[in-house]
Amino acid sequence: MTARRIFIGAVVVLFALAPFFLSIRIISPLTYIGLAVLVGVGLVVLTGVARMTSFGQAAFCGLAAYTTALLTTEYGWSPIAALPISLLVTGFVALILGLLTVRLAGHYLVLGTLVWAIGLFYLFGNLPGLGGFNGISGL
Amino acid sequence: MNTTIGLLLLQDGLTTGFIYALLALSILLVFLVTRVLWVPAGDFLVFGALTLAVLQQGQVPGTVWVCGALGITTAIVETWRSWRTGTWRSWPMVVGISLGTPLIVGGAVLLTAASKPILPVQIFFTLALIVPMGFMLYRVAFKELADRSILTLMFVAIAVHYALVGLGLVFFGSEGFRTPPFIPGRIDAGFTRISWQLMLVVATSAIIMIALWLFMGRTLWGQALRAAAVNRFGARLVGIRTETAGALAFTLAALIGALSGILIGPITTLYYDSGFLVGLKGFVGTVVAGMVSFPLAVLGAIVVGVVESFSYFYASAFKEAIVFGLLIPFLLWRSAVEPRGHETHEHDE
Repeated sequence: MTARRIFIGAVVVLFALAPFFLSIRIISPLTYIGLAVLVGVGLVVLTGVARMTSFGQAAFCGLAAYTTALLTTEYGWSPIAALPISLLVTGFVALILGLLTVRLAGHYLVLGTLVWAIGLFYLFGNLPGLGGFNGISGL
Repeated sequence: MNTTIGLLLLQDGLTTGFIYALLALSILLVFLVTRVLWVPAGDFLVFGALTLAVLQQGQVPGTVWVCGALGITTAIVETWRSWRTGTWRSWPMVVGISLGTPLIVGGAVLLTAASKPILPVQIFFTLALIVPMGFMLYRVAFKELADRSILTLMFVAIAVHYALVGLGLVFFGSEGFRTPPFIPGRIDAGFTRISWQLMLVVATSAIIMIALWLFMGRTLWGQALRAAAVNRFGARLVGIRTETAGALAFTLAALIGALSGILIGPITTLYYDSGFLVGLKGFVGTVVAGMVSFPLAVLGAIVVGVVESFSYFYASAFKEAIVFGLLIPFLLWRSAVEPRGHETHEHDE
């Protein structure tokens, strides 16, 4: 048990217990920070470890969010039950898009991922039933 | 959908397509000479259009203050760099342009804006404010990074884009602008009615493209740019300084961007953040050309404009998704055609 591991363990426990102690004014930004960290970890795996720069992370975030939102508002699922479905859907779409784009080289990869991320953004915004550019509320 | 509508859509598509082609040219020029993926190309277009629109309203455009802030930043950075490296050779020219442009041109605009000078003078003011900004951006952001990877340069370009969009919001506000058309109306060409604006856009674009072609082919500066684009190290060996070539490429890109903005101003309503999408469509044109060929980039961008116009008619909400979705097969084809290790591969003109 090195000092580093103890430190990381302590931080994790503190964060887990935080909602019971801290006020909502601190928890709210912390939640957003945590979400951003999750996206960042995904980008680190992609860009740092696999050396492929992707500008398409935002589209995947949106895809998972829309899946969860649709399942919980339209079909009345609980968010916990909707989580694995969101993961599966996003993973599946990422697999298809990845098979298309992983063959791109160098800066074409950046442009390619940027381009289908923006394309997906406009697709989401314009498909009926997804609430247009106002989104789905009342989650 | 009959011939009349089809021809009108074709006209609109050609008009925007030529604007995208100009942007594609500026992006390709900057990329070939400096390996920077010039994402802010659209922002220069938007700045040009918004500056002219505000000048036509008789007010002082925010570009004066953007140019001033950028000029002061450039002067400070250049002074610090010159002091650190001990070379004061280029300091007078750079600081002269950085501080002189906002002072002289900005001062002239401040004095004369309310009296609404004639259109050529307003266009001159727009160009005189925006073109040095390209030069200043190169000196501040990109000169020191000249030997980094394409990815690093692209991240810096995106950062510059966000900075310009933010400055645009602060100085232009969030409302849209549109300039009155330079020559209103359409003429009857027998089978269809062609708008004067389309002919003006096509004629001006053609003149700019021919001027660029002559510049790159006949003049010493242009040939130096081409040499730096083909092989940077070889160009340095024969005495062409990379920073001169880079500064010239960025200045030309700013000029082309501002001119495109002036041309597109009467056609669409532009907002402070419209630049990104317009620039991205110019990128689609250059990618179709494999980022090596100028005529193909022009052709690709015109095709993008026409496709966008037709898909606007048929499925107006999805036009962006269609235009960008059509790029993916091109990217796949380009990646398959070009060999790996493409970054170090020498480009042929």
